[in-house]
Amino acid sequence: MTAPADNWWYSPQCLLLFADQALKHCSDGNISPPGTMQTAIDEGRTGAIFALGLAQAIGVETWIRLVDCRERAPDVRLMYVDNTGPKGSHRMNTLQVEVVTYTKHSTEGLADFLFKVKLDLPRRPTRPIPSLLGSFSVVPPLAKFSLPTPSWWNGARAACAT
Amino acid sequence: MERGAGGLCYVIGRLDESRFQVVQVVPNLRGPEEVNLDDAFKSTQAPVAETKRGMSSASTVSEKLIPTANPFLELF
Repeated sequence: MTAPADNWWYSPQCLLLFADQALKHCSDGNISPPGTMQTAIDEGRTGAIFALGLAQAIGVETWIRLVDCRERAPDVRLMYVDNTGPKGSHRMNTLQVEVVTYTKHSTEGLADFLFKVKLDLPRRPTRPIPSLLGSFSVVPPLAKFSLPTPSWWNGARAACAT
Repeated sequence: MERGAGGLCYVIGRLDESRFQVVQVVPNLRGPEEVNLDDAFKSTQAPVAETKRGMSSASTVSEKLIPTANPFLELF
């Protein structure tokens, strides 16, 4: 029996391993990952690394989940629980994360890229979406650089298994 | 990170095979936080959390092991 999908969140490490597992599944079957799956893996990996950095910055565990591609935006959702609720009670904070890619092949500087592509608010307005679960924050752009090679992921998976 | 915050922007940079830096660049510069994936995989954080909805914004997280499907393989 599995948990209902709308109630669960993955640890960043778990999502990274799932991404590796999915790519290995494709590799073992000699099949190319579907476009939606490759995109989800790229966004999931980037979101997971962001979640790990955020966890270090705020000192709490962070959690991540993919967003159904039919929603179009955001790309992933992050969540953490803190004690800022009434009388110090737990409160769930949700971040809507959109991932964008900036590579060394980009023709403009990073700052120009961010402002033109994602921070030009008149062109790309960001609207808060009511959250049923708690406070709401928006993280529009998250630039992504190249990610670890398959050999590294194999090593990480082996290290995790021991 | 305040409640209802909008327009936050973070940049992830890669240092080497397993190390990254996460920097907040909008609305102000904070960080960087260095993420070492080798260290991250030593974490004792549970792989899956199940949230329970309540009447208010307060909620709880149970960190029990839950059999889950690989969300990426569901995209096949």
